[in-house]
Amino acid sequence: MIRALPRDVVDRIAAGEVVERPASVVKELIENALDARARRISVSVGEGGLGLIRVADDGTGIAEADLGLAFAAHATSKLADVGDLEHIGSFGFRGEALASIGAVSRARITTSIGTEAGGWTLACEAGVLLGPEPVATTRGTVVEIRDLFFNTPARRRFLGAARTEAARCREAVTSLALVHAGVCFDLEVDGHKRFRVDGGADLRERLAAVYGEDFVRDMVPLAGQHEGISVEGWLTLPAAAKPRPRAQHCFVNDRHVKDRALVAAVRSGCADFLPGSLQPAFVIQIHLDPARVDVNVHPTKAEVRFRERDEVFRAVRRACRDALLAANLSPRPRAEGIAARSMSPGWEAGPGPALAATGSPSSRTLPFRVESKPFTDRADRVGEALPPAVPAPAPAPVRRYLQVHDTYLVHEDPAGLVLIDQHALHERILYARLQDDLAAGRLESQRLLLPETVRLDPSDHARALGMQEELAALGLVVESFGPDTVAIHAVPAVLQHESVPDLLRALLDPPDAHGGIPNGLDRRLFTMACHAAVKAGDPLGEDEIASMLRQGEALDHDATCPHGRPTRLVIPPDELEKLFKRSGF
Amino acid sequence: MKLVTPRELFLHHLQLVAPISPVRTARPVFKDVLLEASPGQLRLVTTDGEISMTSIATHAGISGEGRAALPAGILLSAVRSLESDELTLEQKGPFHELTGGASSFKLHGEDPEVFPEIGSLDEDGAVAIPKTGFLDLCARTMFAAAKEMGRYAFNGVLLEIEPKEVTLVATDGRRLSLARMTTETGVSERASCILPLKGLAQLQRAASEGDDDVVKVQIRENQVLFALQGAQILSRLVEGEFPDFRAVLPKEKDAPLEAQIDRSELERAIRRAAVTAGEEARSVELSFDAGKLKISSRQDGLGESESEMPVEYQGEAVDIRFNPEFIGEYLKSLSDSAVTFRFKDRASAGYFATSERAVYVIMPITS
Repeated sequence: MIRALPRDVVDRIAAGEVVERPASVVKELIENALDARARRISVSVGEGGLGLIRVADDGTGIAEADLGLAFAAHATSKLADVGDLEHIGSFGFRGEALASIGAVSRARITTSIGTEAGGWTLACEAGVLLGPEPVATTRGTVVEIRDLFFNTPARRRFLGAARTEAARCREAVTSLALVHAGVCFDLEVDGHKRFRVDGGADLRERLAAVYGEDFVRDMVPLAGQHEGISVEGWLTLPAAAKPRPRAQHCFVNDRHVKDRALVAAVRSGCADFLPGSLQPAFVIQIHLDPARVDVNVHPTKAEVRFRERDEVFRAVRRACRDALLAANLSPRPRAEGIAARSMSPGWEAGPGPALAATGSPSSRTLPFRVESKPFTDRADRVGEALPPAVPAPAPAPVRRYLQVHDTYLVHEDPAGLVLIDQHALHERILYARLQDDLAAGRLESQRLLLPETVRLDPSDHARALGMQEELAALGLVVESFGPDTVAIHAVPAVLQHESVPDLLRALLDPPDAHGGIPNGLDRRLFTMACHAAVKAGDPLGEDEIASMLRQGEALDHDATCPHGRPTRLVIPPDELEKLFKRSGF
Repeated sequence: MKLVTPRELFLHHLQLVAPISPVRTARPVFKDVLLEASPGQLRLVTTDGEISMTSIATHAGISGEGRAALPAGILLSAVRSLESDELTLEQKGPFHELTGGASSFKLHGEDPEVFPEIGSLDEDGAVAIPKTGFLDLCARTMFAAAKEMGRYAFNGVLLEIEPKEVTLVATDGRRLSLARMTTETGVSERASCILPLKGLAQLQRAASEGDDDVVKVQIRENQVLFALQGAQILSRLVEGEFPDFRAVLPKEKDAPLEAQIDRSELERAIRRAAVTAGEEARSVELSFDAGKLKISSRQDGLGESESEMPVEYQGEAVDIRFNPEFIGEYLKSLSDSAVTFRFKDRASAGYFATSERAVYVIMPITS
């Protein structure tokens, strides 16, 4: 027998879509507060949000007449007709949130529109309304959710431990607090104050308030415009990146979104600065015409769909890249780092679960840190590389080069003692040249007298033929030669001493084998540069070293190899003095 | 053992066989040279497991009897450093004592019985090939073989013996050099094998001196024996299938344009162009136009170079690019004063020739 589901069951099922876990409740309630134009939002979470979630704001409040509808499905004050869906400027619009939450908890709203009449309070337990009753309160709304999921034990079983859920709640508050300049946020977890973001704080100050000053010190600002898409934010320097993402926040028109493509775009912008195994921390704010983005994709509104996905990708990628190019990326070993600096915890590093895992900024754990770079530094170095025909104010210092373990190069320059990884630097030089050659259509290809046949498994065979054009642009001319074989008619001239089958297979590797660097052609240039570069263990002559350093200096960016490993470490004279305890004598 | 021998003679033969001994090996005995003395004759044998070389010194001044296995490198240095005209090598207890005048060495040897058996040196059925001609074929081809281990038999040189012709072919897949000579070989049908470079290089060394007229070549199932009067080289053959070189030799119609070029002038121009061709991706451009050839190269951040030379050429203007090493190595291998270059366009194979019997096919670099 088929029968319509009772109303309360329907509500509970629907609730599952919006109210996945305590953090989603926190997010919905804060967004409601923001929609009510709150200037101040206080959040308390108890027992991982399962015991208590309390969001208090000083917003417009709800009038008594509307209060009865607050817990009704698809009741919203924010959307009147379908046309409005095209230009969604508010956060809540589906009218689902409170109804869903009310169906699976013991909820209470206390609100006042600030008139002399005072306020009203309305309770809702598992969807059953109690009230409203008059109450004395100030302007604004307080929503208290207790015993979340008390009537859906199955959902409760899927949740993590209280500390995990509390960390997620914290992340939800963080992401909203970062982006809403002008609004003051504070967060309490189990009665302990976690952070407070002042209303007047800018993004950098907000990051510092939430993650700590040390964390922000390792970040660079980014900003860019591309095709009407504006990108702003902060990005960690590669040297401070971590194997697990600590903070990756994307906002589209001030809405927090989880979009893998945006994360990939950031990674792609960092691609040749950052090892594939490490994750950058970042906050990216994207602003574009609301008509160019569809936010009505997912009940939690965490996913968005861009009308011109590639343009957004490019805008983000370029902004990140430009930010890193403008920064000085050579890690500098620091005397303090080496001498195990003591930490300065404060309440920020308290027992909060999120912090326990990730709360240690890079400069505490790594002996190296990146310092922001004065622009003159670059200019000086380029100037030096010029032939002495250019009149120099002072005689250029004599350069001496030393190769250590057939792997590292040592030399001095005005910035200090420079240690270079020969493979990484050569890889970077070749990569830059290959990029230039590719862009100029000059990537040379050695034709083969005897086409080389390579047997491939069926998926590689299909991929090779699908990539024919891309491979040809790289100098590898591949044609089908039977069902499981390809014939190679030309190879990249720069790699002609490589084993052709190995090269082909390396170029066919799916992108995720390299840390998700999405741009296929570029990544293949990495592979080629890596294969062609001098290896660790190759002895080099002084001329070769000098030529390599000169070529490196001529590049826009030679601080990291294409895989993001640093090419050089610079120990400035004052650090040497500290290390040798010379300073102060 | 006991051996008395003129120093010069001993040194000469040691120098011939010592390069076979590998620098690094898991079997220490491969580093040794086996010495077998008998009145009037000394045999020296070295092997690396793939190639073995026997050199026989015959001289009235040699006397003694017995066998010894001594490290080839140290023995060579020791003999070189001694100054007397005559040397004595004698086993004394655990040592072999090498004496020359008032100086002496004590060297540790191996038991000669553990020195590996090398195959039979029976020369029956060997083909006699004129030595000078054969060395010329080697010089014209060996450079074109692949230096690295690659696919097929690229790191070897194909030897084909036909009733009236001997051919050597080497290729690394990007260029191919073929040289053949006419000679009565006495075989009734074509026989072929792939010779390893190391074995051929050893033959070149051994054959470049001595007054032999011919090199005797005997192709076996998986070995080849080269025999000279005082030396024999037994080498394992390169296994695999040599590519069908006849299929890739361009016909005249595939390369309708022809230029006559002065060899040494071209060689110098290529060397100049190579300076600015860069280190990794190297190419030089040959620009043919009526009566002249311009050779140029250019590398961003490095510079550019240009040379022009008169050539006999009547065709249209064509630019074609090659790896300068490929041309340079070829020209260096020649003693001829002029070369013919035939080609079609910038993307097709071109070939150099000094005669119908010596052809060098080379693939261009395109972008």
